[in-house]
Amino acid sequence: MSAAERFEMIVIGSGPAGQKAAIQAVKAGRSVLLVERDRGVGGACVHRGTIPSKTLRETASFLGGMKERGEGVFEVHLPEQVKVASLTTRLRRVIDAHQGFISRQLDRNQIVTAHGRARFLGPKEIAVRTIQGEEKTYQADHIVVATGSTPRVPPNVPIDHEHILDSDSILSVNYLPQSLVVLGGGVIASEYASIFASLGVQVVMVDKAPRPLAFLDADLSERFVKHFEGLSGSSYLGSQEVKEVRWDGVSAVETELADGTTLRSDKLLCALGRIANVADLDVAAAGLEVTSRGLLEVDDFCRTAVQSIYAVGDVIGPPALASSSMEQGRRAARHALNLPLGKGSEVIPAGIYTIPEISTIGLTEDQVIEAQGSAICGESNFSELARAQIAFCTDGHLKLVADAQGRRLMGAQIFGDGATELIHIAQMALLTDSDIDLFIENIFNFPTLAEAYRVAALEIVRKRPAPVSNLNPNPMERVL
Amino acid sequence: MRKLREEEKLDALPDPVHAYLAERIASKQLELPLLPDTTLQIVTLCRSEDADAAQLTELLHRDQSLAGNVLRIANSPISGSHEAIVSLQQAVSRLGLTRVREISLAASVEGLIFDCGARKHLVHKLWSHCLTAALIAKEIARHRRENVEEAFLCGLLHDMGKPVLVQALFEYEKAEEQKLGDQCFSLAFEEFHAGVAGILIKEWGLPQQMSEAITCHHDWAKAEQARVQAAIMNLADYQAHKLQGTLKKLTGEFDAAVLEELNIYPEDLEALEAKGERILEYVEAMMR
Ligand SMILES: Cc1cc2nc3c(=O)[nH]c(=O)nc-3n(C[C@H](O)[C@H](O)[C@H](O)COP(=O)(O)OP(=O)(O)OC[C@H]3O[C@@H](n4cnc5c(N)ncnc54)[C@H](O)[C@@H]3O)c2cc1C
Repeated sequence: MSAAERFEMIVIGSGPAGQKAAIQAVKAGRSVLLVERDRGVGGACVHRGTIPSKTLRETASFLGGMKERGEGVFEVHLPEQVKVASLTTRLRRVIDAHQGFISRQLDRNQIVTAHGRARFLGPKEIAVRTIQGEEKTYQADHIVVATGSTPRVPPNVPIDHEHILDSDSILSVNYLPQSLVVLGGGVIASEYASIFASLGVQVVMVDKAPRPLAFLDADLSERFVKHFEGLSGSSYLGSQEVKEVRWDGVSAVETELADGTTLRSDKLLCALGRIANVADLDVAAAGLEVTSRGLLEVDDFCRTAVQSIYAVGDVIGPPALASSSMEQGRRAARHALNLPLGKGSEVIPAGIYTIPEISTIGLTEDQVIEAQGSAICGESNFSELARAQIAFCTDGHLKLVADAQGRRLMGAQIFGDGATELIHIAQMALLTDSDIDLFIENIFNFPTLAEAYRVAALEIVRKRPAPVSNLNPNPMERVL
Repeated sequence: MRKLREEEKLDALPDPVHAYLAERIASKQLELPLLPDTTLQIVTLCRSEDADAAQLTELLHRDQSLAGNVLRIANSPISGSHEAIVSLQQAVSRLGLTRVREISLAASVEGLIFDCGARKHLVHKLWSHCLTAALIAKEIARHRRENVEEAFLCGLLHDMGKPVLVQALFEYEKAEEQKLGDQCFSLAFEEFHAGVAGILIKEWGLPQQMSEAITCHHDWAKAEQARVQAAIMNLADYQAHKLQGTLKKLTGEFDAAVLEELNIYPEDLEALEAKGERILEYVEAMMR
């Protein structure tokens, strides 16, 4: 083996976490090697995760919306080929564009890339095996592991990528099945279930939890279920244990549940969690261990138990989002290079790209009650908004949670079109410790969905405990 | 009687034959086998939202040879069925629409290959190669964690240009009153079969991506929309020849860049090749 090539930092994995770590380090003038085992850069985020699923969602939502928008004035009947072709053609285009953008960014920053599978030889040394089967070694003072995750395959679900798919192979659909069973009740399961249901596929979601998206307010997940069950005869089967999944050898996937029910469907999508990509890495050679859940453990700065090694992104577990992975990559690189970290924010929005979208930030009503004894909430139904009527998106809802006095904003939850964008208004208000009155005293564009903030804020103001003096007049009187 | 002369060694397709084929292709005068009407209707029906099993069974009943082939393939290991399928109705209800679509296409393709009039052993070899390549393509797609159905169909159809060329060369022989040697056929295949198959696939109304993948299966880097599919076909084609011991017939070296395109590491290739034995068993069972 030839002598090891030296860099100041090695980053393994070119997903959002790895990219940000590498860019941060070159911007600080360090030499960086970025290793990626796939042909293109971008990681699961670009090729099999965030970007493709969001593109499919956008197309499904558009195609699904066309029917509604016909309003009986014109009939929209899309042949299946047209639907599938519009799904896949756009998908390719969006992925290519995004990957091109990332490659150019890496080139511009003069990041050296190596295509191959990396594994540790020691705390500061790795070997990279190329497609041609050659092996090269590299050394660096700091190594950042950003190897991401892959879909988990439970032992009772024999995934064959033909009838029984995972969240990777579902992306290459070449026709729409008539029926689909989705195992799981998390974000990925709910997103794909609603995408396919909107395209006219009969979807049955099956999960252990009594309701999907269990980490959300019950109110929000109920809204999701209600909308979902109104599509193409779809349904959510909660509190269920899957005993066995099998392809019957001829025409259907059979999902046998512990209660004796057997579901039959054209296809099945298994979305029961993801596992960290550590198998290839031989972390033991660097003196590292994985946790019982197969993750790499890190401290607040994303450093592992071995001084020279950091781990970021999906490989360290929740929240396992592209957005948080990028921030972890940036932080890890800055910490490794002794650069100031800047003020990290605890206020992170959650975006769930179901149809329609769901997004939340800050505390829920229950959490505020638990902390303060009570909370004041204001709500707005999209059906009351002119913009929602115009844009055919009246099935939506925004809820603001304020403190016990109805003054400070504590959190927001939105269900409906545009939720993942709308949430950032609440985020800015939270970051600036704003008063609820902010939403009332300022003028929003009309007609917009953002008006929902104003409607909800007005309700909170109405519910405020009566003022004890005139010093703090009710702003509603000025507005109305 | 004149003794059969040892066939001359040809370096390239003789000019007149080349010109004849090129002209036929350019002027769209190739006789393209029609996808049997029934198959076409089945393909269309299976894609429409309100396809129903009764209609499908009725369509199958109209074409006796297709019906027979569907039953035969439905009972072969390729369909994965564990119980004997004896009636069309049972085949349709048990196999499902997409499966029947796939099988009808396979059955039609098989029929077309066998009807092209080429010598029996050639026809036999071609069909078994197509099946092998189809099954390998499926495994490559599976390894890439992609849906495998399209890869299978591409594999099945990738050499459909050959029977078309056989027809065209027979016509040439008739017109010129001249017998062409086996080598002439091989050279014509080499140069024209992929493009002709692409034309045929388009003519049959199958997806554009599939037509591109097949047109470019020897020159995958030229594919724009279906680069990965074309690369999968290229590798599957090579591996099928390797598995069946027909590699020497291929000209040119194996293009290692295809492994890079598909991100297949040496250990992945080994795992793929380890499935060869089973694939051959399947093919064996499928052949008449
Ligand atoms: C269907 C789906 C939808 C999603 N939607 C969203 C969303 O809407 N919003 C959001 O914020 N997040 C979303 N996510 C999550 C998001 O995609 C991930 O959190 C993010 O990609 C994690 O980034 P990462 O850099 O840690 O890992 P990855 O993006 O997984 O990248 C890791 C890279 O490391 C490479 N690698 C692994 N092992 C090695 C090795 N030994 N040698 C060399 N290279 C190696 C891999 O090939 C891969 O390219 C979604 C995920 C999925 C699956």
